[in-house]
Amino acid sequence: MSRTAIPLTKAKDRSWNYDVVVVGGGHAGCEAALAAARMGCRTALVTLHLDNIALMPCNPAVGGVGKGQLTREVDALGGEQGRNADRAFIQIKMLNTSKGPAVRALRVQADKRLYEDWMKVVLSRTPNLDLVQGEAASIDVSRETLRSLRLADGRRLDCRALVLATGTFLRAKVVVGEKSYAAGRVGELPARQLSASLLAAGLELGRFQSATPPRIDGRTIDPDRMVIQHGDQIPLSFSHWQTPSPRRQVPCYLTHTTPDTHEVVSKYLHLSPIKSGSVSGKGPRYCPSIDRKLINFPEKQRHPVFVEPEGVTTQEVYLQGLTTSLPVFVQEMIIRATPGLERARLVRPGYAVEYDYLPPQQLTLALQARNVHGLFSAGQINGTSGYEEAAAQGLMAGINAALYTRDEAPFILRRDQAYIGVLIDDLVTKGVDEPYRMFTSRAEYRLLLRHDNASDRLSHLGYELGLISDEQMSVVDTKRQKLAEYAELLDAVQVRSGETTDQLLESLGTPPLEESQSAAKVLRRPQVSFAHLLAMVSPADREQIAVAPRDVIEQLEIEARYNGYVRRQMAEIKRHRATETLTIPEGFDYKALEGLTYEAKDKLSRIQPTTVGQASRVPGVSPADISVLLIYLYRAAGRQGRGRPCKGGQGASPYPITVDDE
Amino acid sequence: MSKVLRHGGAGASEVPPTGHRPAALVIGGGVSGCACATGLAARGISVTVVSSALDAIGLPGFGPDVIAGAGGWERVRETLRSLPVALREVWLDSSAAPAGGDRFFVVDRRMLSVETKRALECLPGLRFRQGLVVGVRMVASSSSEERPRVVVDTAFGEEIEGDVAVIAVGLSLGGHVVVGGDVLPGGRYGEAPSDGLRASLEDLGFEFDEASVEVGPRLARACLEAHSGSDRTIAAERAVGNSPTEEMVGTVSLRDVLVGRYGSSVWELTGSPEGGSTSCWDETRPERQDATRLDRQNATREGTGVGVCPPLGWGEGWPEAPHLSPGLRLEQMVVRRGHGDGYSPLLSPDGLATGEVYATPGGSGIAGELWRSAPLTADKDGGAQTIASRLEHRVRGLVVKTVTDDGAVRTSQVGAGFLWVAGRAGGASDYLESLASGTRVAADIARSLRREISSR
Repeated sequence: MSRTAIPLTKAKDRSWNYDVVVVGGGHAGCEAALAAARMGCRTALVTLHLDNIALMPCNPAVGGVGKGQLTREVDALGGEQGRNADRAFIQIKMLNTSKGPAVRALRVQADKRLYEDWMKVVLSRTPNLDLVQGEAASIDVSRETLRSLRLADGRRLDCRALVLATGTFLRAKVVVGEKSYAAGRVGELPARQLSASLLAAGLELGRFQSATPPRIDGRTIDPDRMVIQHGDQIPLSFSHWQTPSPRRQVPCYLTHTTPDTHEVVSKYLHLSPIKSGSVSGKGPRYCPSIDRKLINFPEKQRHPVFVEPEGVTTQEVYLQGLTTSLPVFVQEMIIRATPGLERARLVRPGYAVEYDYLPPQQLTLALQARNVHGLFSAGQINGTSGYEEAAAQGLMAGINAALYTRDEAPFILRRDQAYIGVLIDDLVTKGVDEPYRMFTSRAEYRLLLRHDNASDRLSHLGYELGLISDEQMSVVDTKRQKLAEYAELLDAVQVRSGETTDQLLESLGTPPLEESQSAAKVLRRPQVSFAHLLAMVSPADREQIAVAPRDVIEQLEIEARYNGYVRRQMAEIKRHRATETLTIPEGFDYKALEGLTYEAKDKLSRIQPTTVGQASRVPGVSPADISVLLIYLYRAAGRQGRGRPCKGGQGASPYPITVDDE
Repeated sequence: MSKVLRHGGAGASEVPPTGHRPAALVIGGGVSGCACATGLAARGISVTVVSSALDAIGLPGFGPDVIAGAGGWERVRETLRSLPVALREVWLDSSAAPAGGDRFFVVDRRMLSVETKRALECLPGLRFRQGLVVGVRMVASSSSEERPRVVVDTAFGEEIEGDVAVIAVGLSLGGHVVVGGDVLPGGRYGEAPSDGLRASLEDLGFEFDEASVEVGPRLARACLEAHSGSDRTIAAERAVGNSPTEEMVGTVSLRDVLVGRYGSSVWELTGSPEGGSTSCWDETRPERQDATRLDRQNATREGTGVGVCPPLGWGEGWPEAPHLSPGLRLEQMVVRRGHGDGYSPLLSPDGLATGEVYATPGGSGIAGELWRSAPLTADKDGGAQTIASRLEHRVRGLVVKTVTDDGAVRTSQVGAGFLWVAGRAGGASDYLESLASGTRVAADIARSLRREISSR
């Protein structure tokens, strides 16, 4: 019947063949594995614990200003984060609707358990993708090329490309006050062995720190003392590929710290790991702990605290704004000194986690290690923070790992194309001295890199990569067609000067029309919305334009209103494009270049920028250095033509960067 | 800096009011810990479950197969019946059995875990606290009249105090996991270990025996789907002798099996002391309350008994939940027909959302053959290859030597009514024993506290 069981140890020294292996099952790892598998690579996702896929170990939210744009871009390129957020959200909100379009962004509260489950369902149903539980122990590198990954249990996964997405797990410890223990997240084993192997391969590692606030029992909060915050009532969705439908939502609450809270923190500040030195890594400046906030902003009387449910099946709620790794009894005092939380019962203490990261200046713009071919890295290991930053890098690393296995040119997004381009260019060019978080202010061309036009900017690139289907592409095309149709219609429709129109315009604080104007022109007035416009046109015209889809209306408004700025940014891009994209030959010898400062020679040799634009952003490189470089490159270009092309980056200009056609 | 978690609150209580409401600490939130905590809460004893893995509350830590053995459905029925209603309903909803079998059933571990936490969070007087317990000790009370207290120390320096503590830590006392050529610390795969707790129990005079459990490998569900027909499966079947005793069967919900066999009246245990009648929502959050109440109304199904915190589907308008399927319907499983009339599991779906299939440890049969033979053929055809998503592994740990008062269910009372042991840490050797032992310890604690109070 059954033969004698083969001993377990036989699994040892067995090897399997993959094109791409991804280490880590968080937000970066999931995107990387999905992208590679969907591009046809035989892919394995290796994780320490298969029960812990796509965990949201910090806030129960996806999106927000800057971050939401990243998620939209990931979605436009065929990534999973946006779709998964849609599946799991229990509140959705468009932020900054009253502000400019550049800072408008979606944010959702997600049910954490649901988010994990859906991602696991997606992973397990993806062809070409194996999920493997095990600890990544070491990488085998020969002739500067990655060959395989060894698991601690003895298995060997041979692969052409490897994506490191280890999050906070490398040699990690969790810290509260002066207490700590080895763990990647509270209660979970860290990755003990991989760091040594990375160091042996010639990579440098640094130490960073991140922290999470306490969770409390939702039944013990007093909502009457807080401001209730509802989601948006109109149906919204993160993903471009799904029609939003109404959904039940749960409210969040807003409260603030008080002088009492601050007194508690000040009294016990000496017990903070930051002060006592039990955490050595640098923490995030932009998602600071409450202790850090008090050190940095002593003049501020209060800080906001958002009370956010962690899911529908749990009573646990998250206290955004009260991140701390002070001793637990101090945490309880801090919480109880905050209005609405006086009776709050602590469920999970906040804590800090300290971990190895890979200073990203060792990477190329394709997120590939400069000194190990086939080794890619993405997410928190690259010194970033946030699920969205992680997903964006994961997607790009997965795509580039897949392209590498096919010996194709890397896929690189420019800074004027996507926040993803800004993110990766910042990381590999400037490096990080604290966990990096995306802000709209980091993007020079943020009026172009908007939430509403992500699919216009990027989906055709996702389509070329095979990550966007024909159906999805037709969604994008239909929307663009509609946009063009309605734009044309608005040009044709006349708004006649008359009593009703003038009264309306005056009530909006904008002068009446002197003569009839096209609707498009009237919409350019910042005070006039599409809804106002409907009231000013003839009933027949109204009938025609009122049926425009919501996303088309939004984009029409934005493009009409910001037309001038957008044009200016495009002109600027055009001006810079010539030098920005001028390619520097691989292995360029800066040391031999006379006229460069020592610092520039050193930094540029180390970073090895691929374009002049990237070179100009390397810290320590001055405009004078760039001039020297340009003179040389123009001379060389005259002799031998341009350098190696790059996918995406130097390719056809996608909308809206159609400067060349104007 | 000791923080004392002492809880007030209303609720039915078997224990007469004294100076304070007795508080129990349950260390560990697995199968036995949750059974014990629910039982305590149902008896009006406030209880804090201290666990380092709050995302794995109620999780059966090893495979999804729940083996009843010779006891058959009778044993399953008795064990589940002894559970407080809230927990029993979760088990019934999260389980499926092979059609026609009578020796085992399969749980959706994920669903059981998520729903157990939800159900327990609804019980007044029961709370969770995340913490890696590194020690337990007795301290004298400040007032000489009061009995000493138990203090639990966590890795983050917390001191949590109670009247009694239950050690329900599974195999994590001195636990380690042997997987392939590697040994990981911890009592469940992937969890941070605590050596301190064992040392502190030794200080208190505890003695230990060794125990271990074999956990089978997991495969991608595609393996099971390919079970009939594919070349590789046929090859694998041939390799194991194409055994006629192995067959693929459909599943039915455990509730249907048990209700069908014993009649629905068995489950109408209204008014049982374990069930209690408790209000589940929070008075301070009306809108949340309404949503919760509405959900519960939507979800309360006929025949589920008293409807105390029933596990819910997500009602109308909520997002779809892959791990939740009231009246769980798992896919097919592969079983071996025994010499008697019972089935034993070979390949079982490991839940609705996981996409994994659990293979019985020992590596015999088709499952073992599938993943073992695959790598050898992969190099040749370069095509399909199977890698175990999780390797077979062995978990070793220490169990407290206990006075066995009953052959099937072993409970322990050490430290003169202050410290108790439940589940695997007390020698239970399967999930049903763990459940029974947790329930039993809860009853024993309530009895002991009652005696203590009346003697004072």
